[in-house]
Amino acid sequence: MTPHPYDIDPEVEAILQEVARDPQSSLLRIERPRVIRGLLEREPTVGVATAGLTLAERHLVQTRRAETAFALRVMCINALEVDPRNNQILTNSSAGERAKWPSQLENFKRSWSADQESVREALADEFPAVRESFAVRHPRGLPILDLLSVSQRLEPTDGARINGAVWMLLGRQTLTSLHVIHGVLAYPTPAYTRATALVNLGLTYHMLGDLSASLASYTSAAEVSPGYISAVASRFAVAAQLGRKAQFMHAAAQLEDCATLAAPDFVSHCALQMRVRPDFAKSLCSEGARLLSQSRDQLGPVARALADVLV
Amino acid sequence: MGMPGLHGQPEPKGEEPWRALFEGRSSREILADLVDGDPLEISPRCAERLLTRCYLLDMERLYFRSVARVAYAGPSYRGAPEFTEFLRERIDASIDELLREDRAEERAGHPVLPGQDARYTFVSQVLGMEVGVTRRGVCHFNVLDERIRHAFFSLVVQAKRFRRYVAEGNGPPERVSDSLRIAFETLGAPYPKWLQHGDEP
Repeated sequence: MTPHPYDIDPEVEAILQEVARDPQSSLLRIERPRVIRGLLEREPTVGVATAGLTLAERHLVQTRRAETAFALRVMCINALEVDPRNNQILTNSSAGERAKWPSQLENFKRSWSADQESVREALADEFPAVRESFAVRHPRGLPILDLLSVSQRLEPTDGARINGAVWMLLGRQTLTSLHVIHGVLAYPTPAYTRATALVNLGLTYHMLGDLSASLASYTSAAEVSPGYISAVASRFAVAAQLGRKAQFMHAAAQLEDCATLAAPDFVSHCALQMRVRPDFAKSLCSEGARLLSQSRDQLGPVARALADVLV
Repeated sequence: MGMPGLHGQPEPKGEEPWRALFEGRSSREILADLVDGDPLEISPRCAERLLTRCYLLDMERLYFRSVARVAYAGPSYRGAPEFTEFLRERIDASIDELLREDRAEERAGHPVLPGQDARYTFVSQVLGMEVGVTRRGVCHFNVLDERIRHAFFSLVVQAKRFRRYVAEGNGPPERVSDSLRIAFETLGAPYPKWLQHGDEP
């Protein structure tokens, strides 16, 4: 395809110029060519061979690695779910996604056995660890952190980082978990992943006894993802513990909005979220206790039911 | 071979076009067929998905990853989901995967080489940015709200007229301007701003 003169609308150009006026902006710092090839105008070239593989084959290798990494992450999440120390999973996957996992894992194992040679070639040094993990009969026997490390080497993801942080949290390695989650938040990541990281950050701070930092994290999570039940319910609970009325009432209103989106067992789901904080009453300050009793009549049905569960 | 139409053309009745391509064949064999003339029209499908989802990605990279994903899944495909949907899922998975790879590269601090990736060249040329700082801006852009990405894609990538975009029902001019401003600011955010967010230059 032939490149054509790039013609940007004057109104768009004016906005660009305005933003670029910030002396620290990276925009409009070099000369722009008059003719620019459109982003979607490239046609794929075929047949670039590197180290015996074509460009397309290299993408196939990476696909095998990414699929294996995905399978490992699913296995790790399953192991987190059945861990007796855990009463709440805080991953960034929806119930809908999770429902698909067993068949996806099954498909993966089928193609794994059908084409072992290609898999061995794609995974290289990681192959033995992955093969051993498939031989483990019960998820509780899996070396979670080892597998998450393998998964990260095959395809680095924030999902694996968060799962690793959750695993460390279960082992009460709160500072390490904090470090890992801050590492996720320091880089651009999609909103749902960011919200999951923030919820786990809130939980970690809560375990460390820093309720103000915990509330700030839950509040950020609820802002990033207003329909995220864990974030909203946790914000509601911690705001109550601290006696922060404005945040408490805001979260209460958000809970009612969430309830219209969620399953009928919404309150029991929220209650489950709270079970991770068995020390709720212990951390409830006197303002919080007063807030809970005085505001009860102002709460909607969901927030009221959740408040009843909490006290 | 009668493949499913990309733009709503009728699909051949009673045929399962994938059978001849997938059945009894290895991923590598399927891959070789797929890159020979693009019989499944994966390239235009990729362009269509990029325009719908509004991510700044390199088309060629997306094409090859999508072809690889189709070839990988081909041997275990048995007709469900419906074939067009199957292809769309593979392309969407490729988009998500490449976005993760971009973020991983940015995290690792690998240098951006001139000409390495079409969208860095494109962003650098259109916005007058040094190519070395484009990836960071692109990574931040790709996690922005879809409304903002959509405005940028329409007005900058597709160079649509501002007034036409507004007239198409994409919100009042002020909102479109705001979206575009956020997109530009994100792409050209100064290093100190990134540092405030905990990033290292």
